[in-house]
Amino acid sequence: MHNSNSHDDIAIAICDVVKNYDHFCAIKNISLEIKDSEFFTLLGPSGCGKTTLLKMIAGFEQISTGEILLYGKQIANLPPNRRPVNTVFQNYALFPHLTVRQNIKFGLQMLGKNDSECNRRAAEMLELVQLNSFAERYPLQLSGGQQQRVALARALAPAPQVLLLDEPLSALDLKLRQSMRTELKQIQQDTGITFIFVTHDQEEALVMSDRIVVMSEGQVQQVGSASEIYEAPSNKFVANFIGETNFLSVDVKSAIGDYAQCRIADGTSLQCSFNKVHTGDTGVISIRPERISFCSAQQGDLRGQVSQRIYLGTDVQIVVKLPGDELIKVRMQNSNLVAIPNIGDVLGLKLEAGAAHLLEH
Amino acid sequence: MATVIAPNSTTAESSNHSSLVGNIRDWLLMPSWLVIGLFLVMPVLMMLVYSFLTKEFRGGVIWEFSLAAYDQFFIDRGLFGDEPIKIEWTYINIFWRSFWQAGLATTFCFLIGFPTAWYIATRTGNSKHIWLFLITIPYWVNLLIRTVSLKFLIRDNGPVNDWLLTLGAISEPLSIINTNLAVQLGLFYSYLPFMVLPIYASVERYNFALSEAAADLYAGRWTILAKIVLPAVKPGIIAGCILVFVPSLGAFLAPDLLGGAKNFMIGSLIEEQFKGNAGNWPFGAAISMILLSMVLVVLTYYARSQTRRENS
Repeated sequence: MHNSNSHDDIAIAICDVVKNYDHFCAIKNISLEIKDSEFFTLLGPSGCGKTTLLKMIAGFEQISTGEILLYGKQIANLPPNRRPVNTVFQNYALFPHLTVRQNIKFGLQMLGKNDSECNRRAAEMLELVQLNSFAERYPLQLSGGQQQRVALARALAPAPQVLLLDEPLSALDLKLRQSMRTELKQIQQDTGITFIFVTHDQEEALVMSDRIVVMSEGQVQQVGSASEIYEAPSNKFVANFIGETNFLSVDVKSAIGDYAQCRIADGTSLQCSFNKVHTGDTGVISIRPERISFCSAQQGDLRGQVSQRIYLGTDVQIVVKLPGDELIKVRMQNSNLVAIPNIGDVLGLKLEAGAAHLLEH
Repeated sequence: MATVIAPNSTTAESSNHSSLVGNIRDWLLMPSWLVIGLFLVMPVLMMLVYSFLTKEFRGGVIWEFSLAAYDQFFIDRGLFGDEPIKIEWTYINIFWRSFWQAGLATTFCFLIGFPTAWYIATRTGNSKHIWLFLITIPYWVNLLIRTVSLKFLIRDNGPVNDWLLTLGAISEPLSIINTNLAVQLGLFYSYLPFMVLPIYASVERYNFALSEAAADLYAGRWTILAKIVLPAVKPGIIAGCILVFVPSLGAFLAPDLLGGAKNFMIGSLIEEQFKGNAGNWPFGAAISMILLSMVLVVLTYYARSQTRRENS
């Protein structure tokens, strides 16, 4: 399936992997290729199988069928301690009876590295995560953010071929989480190690990842860069899960090239882009709230009455009710330059070119 | 005026209030203090005092200070008390044998108790509770009855020997009764749950993600057990060992009923001093005090070494 040339730039290849439990199927045939030195994110709601997939790469879960290749080598049958990958655990799983330094040295010692090598590498890692002055503390004497860094340093110390991160930021508070995002990304770029990051937080995924796989119910929904997934969702699930969007049910009238002519419930016609062959004569269109602007009621692609105005600080969200009773969210910047509509105003809505995406139901 | 006075009066009220609460708390604690004082501290103090009194021949004490009990324990003056002073080894040997037996019993209890506790703690759902329940069932029966039953089971023509003979595993009955092995069996059977339960509690709290983390960092099974699991569940193991070792040391039912005269332990020695007319209360009290102080020394040493480790 893979020729020998591709082994160097494909860090992990997941081929037709299935995971069955007694009563349900956690992973329904997934194939993925994760490139060397890539920040790759497994994104999905809880129960979508993303953590199971990560655990199968780490070796804590056995795969039912399929293969997992690490730089071309089959690893699916190796126990966790024989796989050259390391994990940053969700709740860090730091060894409570060992100091920060001892925690970081643990993996190196298990690999049989000599003392001076262990100490040198531990010092390097402490430097990397800026915890030099905490080296002799025990994990319980550290804050959540510091524990997080120790977990990262411990997993990076043996220089794994791939680093697995299982929702490592979910236990931190918002501010810390945001600063750790940039830091993690920075560390990934500095070390050049392939990161496989699991999260249910779409913002986290968009900010850090080179590529994202969106998963749902044990299946891959879409793989692509952050902008690909946000701008051109391949189905309704992805459009809904990533960011905010408006859905309108439509009848498809005609489809020529990359564009389709659709009609919404009140009879208005809209031009939509679509990136997949569309079958059937009904569908749903997705329009991002920030791709809509207001104009006078006579102009615009759609028309409706403002029913709600929500103040969000940097933005204002306006909810407009269309004649067919559908609600459309519109986001506009909170600025003095543009007049913000009032409740009850009847206005036209103008869509940016390519803002409306036709998706299957 | 009123505004100036008000803060003062509130502070006065609140301090009154808190001292009142303090009083109530003290009063509510009184029953506990009384029970502990009367039933825990007093008996030990009585033993301490008795050990320094003169014995009455038909049991009991004469209120007259004497070191005779301790003298009898440590010093050998010959049969008629006129020979040169030597160390009396009889009782020290009994102590030594008791510590050895208790240590051995503790080791066996740990070797069997740890996997048992681990097994129970790693069951899911209801079966965990059923196992725990099963472990405690024998304790609904009096220890004496259980020990006697054990004696019947292992005696020369008892069921164990019968089965082994029928199965052809042995050609003549094993004499288990009146041996060290029998005492060990008795102690093991008596105190196993005291090992299982605290270890179970520790293992149940153990974060299994730590084992995964260690495996992820290239540790094999045995390394994980030695370097990660054992340190984490150590408090339970220590509690279990103390709970088995201390009562084993003072046990008298198992050694008496199963061990016979050769396998005398401290517990039996003490028991004898308080039984019937042949007893010697001050001597029994003195042995108890010596035992108590030895146990305290061991536990204090252990506690010290623990705090030292934690501070370092």
